[in-house]
Amino acid sequence: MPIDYTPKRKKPNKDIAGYRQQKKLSRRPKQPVIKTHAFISSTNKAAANPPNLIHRVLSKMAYGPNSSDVAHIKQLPGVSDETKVMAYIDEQLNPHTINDTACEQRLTGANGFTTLNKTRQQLYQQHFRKANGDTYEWSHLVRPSREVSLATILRGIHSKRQLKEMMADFWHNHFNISNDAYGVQPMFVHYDRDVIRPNVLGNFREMLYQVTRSTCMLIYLNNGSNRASAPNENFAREVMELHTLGADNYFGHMDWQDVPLDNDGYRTGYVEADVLEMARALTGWSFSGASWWDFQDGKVATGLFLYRNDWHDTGTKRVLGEDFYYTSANPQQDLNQILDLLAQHPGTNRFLAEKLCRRFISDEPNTAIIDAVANTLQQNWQAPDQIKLAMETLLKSNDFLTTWGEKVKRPFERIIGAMRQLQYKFRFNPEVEHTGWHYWTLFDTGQQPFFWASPNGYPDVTSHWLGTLSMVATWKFIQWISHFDRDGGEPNDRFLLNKVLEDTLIGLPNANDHTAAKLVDFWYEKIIGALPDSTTHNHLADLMASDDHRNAIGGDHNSAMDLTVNNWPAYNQDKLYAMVATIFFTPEFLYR
Amino acid sequence: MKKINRRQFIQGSGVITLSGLGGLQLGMARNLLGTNDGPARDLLVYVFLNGAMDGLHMVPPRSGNDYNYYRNDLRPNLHIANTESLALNGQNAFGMHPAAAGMADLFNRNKMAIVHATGLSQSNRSHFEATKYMELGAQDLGATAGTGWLTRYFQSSLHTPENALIPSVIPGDANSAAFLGDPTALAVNDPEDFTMSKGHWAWGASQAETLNRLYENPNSPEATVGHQALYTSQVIQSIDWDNYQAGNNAVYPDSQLGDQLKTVAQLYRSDIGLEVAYVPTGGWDTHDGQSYRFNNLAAELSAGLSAFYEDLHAHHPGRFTIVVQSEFGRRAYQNSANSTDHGYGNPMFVIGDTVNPGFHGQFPGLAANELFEGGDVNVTTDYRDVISEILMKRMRNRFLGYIFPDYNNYNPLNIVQGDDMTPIFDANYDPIFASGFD
Repeated sequence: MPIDYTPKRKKPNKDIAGYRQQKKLSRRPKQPVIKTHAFISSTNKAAANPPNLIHRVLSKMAYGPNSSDVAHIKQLPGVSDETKVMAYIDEQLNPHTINDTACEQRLTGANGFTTLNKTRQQLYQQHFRKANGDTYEWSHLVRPSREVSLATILRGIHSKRQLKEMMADFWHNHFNISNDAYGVQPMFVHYDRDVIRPNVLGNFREMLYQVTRSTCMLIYLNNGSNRASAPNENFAREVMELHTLGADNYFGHMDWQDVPLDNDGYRTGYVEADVLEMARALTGWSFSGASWWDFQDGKVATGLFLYRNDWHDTGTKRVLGEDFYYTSANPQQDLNQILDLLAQHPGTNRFLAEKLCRRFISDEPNTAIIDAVANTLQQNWQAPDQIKLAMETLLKSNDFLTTWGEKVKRPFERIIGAMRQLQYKFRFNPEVEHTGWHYWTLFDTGQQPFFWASPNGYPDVTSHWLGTLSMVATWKFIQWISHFDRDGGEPNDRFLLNKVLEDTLIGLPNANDHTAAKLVDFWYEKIIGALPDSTTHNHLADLMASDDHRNAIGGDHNSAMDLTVNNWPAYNQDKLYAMVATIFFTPEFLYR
Repeated sequence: MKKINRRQFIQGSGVITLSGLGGLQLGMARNLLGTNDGPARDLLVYVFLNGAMDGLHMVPPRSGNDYNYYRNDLRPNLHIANTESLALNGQNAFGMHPAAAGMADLFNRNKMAIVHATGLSQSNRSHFEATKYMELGAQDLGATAGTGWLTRYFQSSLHTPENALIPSVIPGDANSAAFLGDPTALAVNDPEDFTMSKGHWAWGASQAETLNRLYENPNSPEATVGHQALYTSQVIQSIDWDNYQAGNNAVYPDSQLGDQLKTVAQLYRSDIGLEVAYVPTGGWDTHDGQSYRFNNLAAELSAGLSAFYEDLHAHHPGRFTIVVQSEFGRRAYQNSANSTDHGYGNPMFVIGDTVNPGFHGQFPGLAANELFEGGDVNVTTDYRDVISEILMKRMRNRFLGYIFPDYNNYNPLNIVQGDDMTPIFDANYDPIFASGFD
């Protein structure tokens, strides 16, 4: 029987998690009622005892709580945790007002970071291509990317600008560039420092523009060589599908005239022909060094953005039913106007809003909060603080403040979260031994930042991260760092890297309280934000109560042990670190 | 650590599931089938070439009008000349990429079938969309109820033993959406490393034991994954990975794909009930530098499949079927980087002792008016026809409408040997009906 291959002129119905059918932004959505009275919904599945508000908020808009951020929130003005948390959100929305010198000092030349302050041109000429066009040796090529990765880990642990770090992670994934792609690594400092980070709470149109002109993206999605004679549509397709309108607004092989108009006259989606037109508009947007000729006849390639008029298609482009014209007076006008259209399009703003809500609230966020965030984005699409305004809407919503356990922490979030609780002191100096071990082991977890292979970024739904391999690799990483004691290759670099003992003595100053039962409850509540159920408590206390590692598990939960010594056969301090690490392996630690 | 009943944790989807039926009725269904474990079936190995492998580069035209269009009009700077492509037995029209000698050899030894111009029934040139449709097994995603096609395969597989230790494996970094909703699917990269081995020397063992106790009775999908990880870790550590001798002295390529396929072969040999292996591999998105990049990819794939076939054949002759496909093919004409953009129709490869060798399906032609939207090889075979034939003839599962919810038109091409079955296209799954009214 013949198959009917006539294109079916309808959008696929999408209504499972993550791929929901696009619902149109209503023109004047009601502002959501913002309540600050936080409570857990009764359908919460994540924990028998739900975590407290400060714990929840730090687990969702930060890389998890640590002693200093919890203490900081508690001393903010306000009579209740709710008002203190509001003050914390306001602080975090204005990261430039937060003094982060202590963190930034870890990223200096004295700590082995030598590329983070190099200009775009220096990165190109000192790490990628020599004057004759040859590439540098591997260690030079990868150094800038390595330093960005290590800086990302260090900022995750130590930065007080935690929301900025979460936003940088979000936008890096939104405009994902895999550092496995050849030629990306030398220029990645530029991409992180100048393209993504200045705009994470700023303006989307500006970030899109900087991404389009960045050496990394021009290399990664091949637009650097896109020319009128035979367009390369790789970047054009991803701009529409992944960066702006989103796949839900892709109407496939339909005539553009058949795409419905909304009330404001926007075509509600894009079709295959729009991708081709977008590719034409992108021709000639390139960089110095993208052509062999850039290295000939004594020319010096710089890696800087370069518009090549002779590669640009000067014809008229029709995108979403609108015509865009080339003029010799302003040859980049056509693409810039298309970027304007994409940035202000309701489909783009709803797509961005849904992704933000999925990142910070739930795998399946409610329509009302998506609409509210989308509305804020769109009303302010030209505002320099557009994204900050949208995040304020999101973070002060009931949906954000009251939900728990509707997402799992991804491996990187679990590892940084554990490091924050452990107050992990490792230097992550690019030139110091064992830094590489941390770096390479992250790959095993399935979430080395900046290495997701495809341009769509790491998945942000629970189902992807419920894999046995990722689970075991993440546990092992935490298992190792919880007792790791080296910060260099020299014998005198050997010292414990966690502050578990210090935190225990601060929290339980009376030595009589150093019983297995109290140590378990103290650390469990600190890491999970609530007390354990009795089964979990007993299993952990059995581990903590053993007085001989050769005959482990079981013993008196209620007699105090001496934590000032670490002697055979009980090794009380090492036992404490092992018990604390095990709390990071519980299902409860997965939730955020 | 005890083995949990994995089916209990495969999410129900509002339809009747085995766990919903309970053991009694399940046993009745089995009795009606006349066996507890079902007939001996194959290991299904599904190799997915992420990024869209260029079928016109892997299986290039060698003669006739299509060759002329290909060489002169579509790909003047990219084609594989017919003086370079490898000849295939009894074939004039198509050859094999010169780096894929192992695949040509499998074809010429009658161990490979190639199906022309397969793909999704509706074109979609997005990697992520097309891949998602294939992983979830439907283009109408609402019909999948949040499960992958292999999850639904196992939900409806009457022959999978309840005591199978590790019926499914993904040798890779992460789970695949093909197993969405099945937290028991085993994703494992380096099996020897799959154990909690980084504890403190004095307390690591007690810590691991505490972990086992914490996960003994999982009560959520998240906890079930932890349980399964700890359980399968113990199974895997009982296997002697170091001293593995591949059958027929097969030599796997020293590459990620080589390691992945070797892991599958070792697990299959270990009698842990392996039934489906999903092998993800990538790098095929050749928008630039295609000649060089494809050469390496084809060589790795070919050497890997060749060794894998030899290894499996030595110990399980006639008891495995390997399927190789991409989300779509690439544009028929070259782009500005003498490479290719996204396209549509693409060949599928089926490898095993029980294939009906040679070419199957219809090549739609490369003339301008034969190309899809003027640029792509068209699709003439719904890829689900290929997989469904294997599911029925080799895996003995005929719940095609449950596995592929928007599929109701089975057109077998006689690619593999075996008894065909009457397909059931109901979107709901009912084993009583299936066994009682066949």
